[in-house]
Amino acid sequence: MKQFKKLKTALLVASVCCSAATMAEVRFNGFASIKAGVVFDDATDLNGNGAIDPVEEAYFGLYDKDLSFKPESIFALQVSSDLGENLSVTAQFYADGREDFDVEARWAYLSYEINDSWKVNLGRMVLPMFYKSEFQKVGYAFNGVRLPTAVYGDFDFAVVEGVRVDNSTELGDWSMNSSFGYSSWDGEVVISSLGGAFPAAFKNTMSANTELSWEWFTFFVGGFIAEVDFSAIDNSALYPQIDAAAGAFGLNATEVANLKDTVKFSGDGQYYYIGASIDYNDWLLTVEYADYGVKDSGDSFNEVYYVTAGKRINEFTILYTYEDYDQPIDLSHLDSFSPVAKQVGAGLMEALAAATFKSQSISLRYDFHSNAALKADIFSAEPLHMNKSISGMSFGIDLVF
Amino acid sequence: MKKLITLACTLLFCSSAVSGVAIVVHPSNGASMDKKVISKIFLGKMKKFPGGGEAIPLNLDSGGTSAEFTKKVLGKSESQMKAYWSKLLFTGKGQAPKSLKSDAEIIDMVSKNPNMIGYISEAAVTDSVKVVSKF
Repeated sequence: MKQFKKLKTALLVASVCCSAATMAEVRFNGFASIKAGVVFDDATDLNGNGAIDPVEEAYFGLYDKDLSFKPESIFALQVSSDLGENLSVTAQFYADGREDFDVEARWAYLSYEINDSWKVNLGRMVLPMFYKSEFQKVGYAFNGVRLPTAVYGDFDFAVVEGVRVDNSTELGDWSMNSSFGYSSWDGEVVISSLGGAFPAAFKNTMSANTELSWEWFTFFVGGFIAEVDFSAIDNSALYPQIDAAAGAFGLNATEVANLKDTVKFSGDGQYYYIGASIDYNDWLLTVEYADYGVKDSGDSFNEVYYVTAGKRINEFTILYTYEDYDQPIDLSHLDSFSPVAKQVGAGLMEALAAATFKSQSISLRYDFHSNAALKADIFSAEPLHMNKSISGMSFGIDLVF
Repeated sequence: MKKLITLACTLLFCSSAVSGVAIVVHPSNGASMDKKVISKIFLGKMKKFPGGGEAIPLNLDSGGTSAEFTKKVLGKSESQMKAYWSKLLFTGKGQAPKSLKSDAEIIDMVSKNPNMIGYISEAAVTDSVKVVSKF
């Protein structure tokens, strides 16, 4: 499968470069991040289950006690060619330390400018899950070392294939930028609480996003809905556990069927975000809240937000971030079940809940060069409902070219 | 010697800062433009001149005049502008204006194309372009 992916990438490179030979104007741009980080504390048994789980070893999913340059280092090269008559083609090749620097085409699309306000893009793109998701990996584009992880995690279904229509409208002193998308995704999702990767698909994904800005104020809102197919997780991880529990607790066939229907992961995915930001006299403030999950599923909705406040002083930007990741477990759809079935369902849902946390960080950005910024931060994360914290630091360089 | 060079550079930079920035268009361009309009054109938010006609902005490479223009007209630093365009460029939503090396190159391009708009050091203005605004 990986070989096939590499072949696809090679073909893409070849096709763009071939067209490069014949076209007048080909643009090469890129961005890179070289970053290192470390967590000060040893892995501890935070949840008290008697074992050091993977999630406890590296809580952030990034660093551990040994300084590492890998997880947040990235190299990307973008090639685009103007084909004339409002048509252009772009591909962005991307090597992420987290993926062993395997080259992936994160973006590969054709754009057609219908007029000054409307543009249509067709191909492979990043799904605008949250406000900054599309440029989540472009470190130079934001002030912190990374975007707040409570909202901007690594989602396996972030890169999709489909169509995105962009609109930009000027309303007096206000600017409105919106996009509407239709896409699909299939691949594998990693569920750490189930200990593995499972084939999965997002079908008929429809997204809408808008950003309304005026001088120093920006308001943003957006989201998407999708038919989420997690049947492999349901069939190979959830249902066998229900069957086993049914045998142990003597549940009848109807109860087992109802329970499976209630705790299954597949269903209607709903993802929303809303927020605002201020950039006034070099004072900065951003708030974003997101709420997402699969409706009527065993995986309760995630409620996440962050607040960042900072100040730009000449070439320096100092930023404080508070972030919160919560997944309140909603057991209300188990109300009609018998006490035993309810207990089985609740047990499963609680075991599958995400590793929730709140975290704080202070970061510094120094624009020491016209194309590069030096960044450093210290962070401290506290898993919810556990009286412990994990702290660490990271530093590095973000550049664009 | 090194100090002398630094001093000379500082003076040069200051003199260009003192001379101000002139926004220039083709002599046939009759559009009147205030700071807001110029800012929208250079941020890629407005793609036509107020009187109609495609507007193609031209940037100057990083340096004294460019920094002065982005600060006075766009209200941002050059790094902020680079971050702004990075967001758009790497998400398929826009492209920074083409950047040229010198005032002379801007004058040359603008004088040949009625759709172009650029900025140069006020001291470099010639008769072949029209100044629509000074900052």
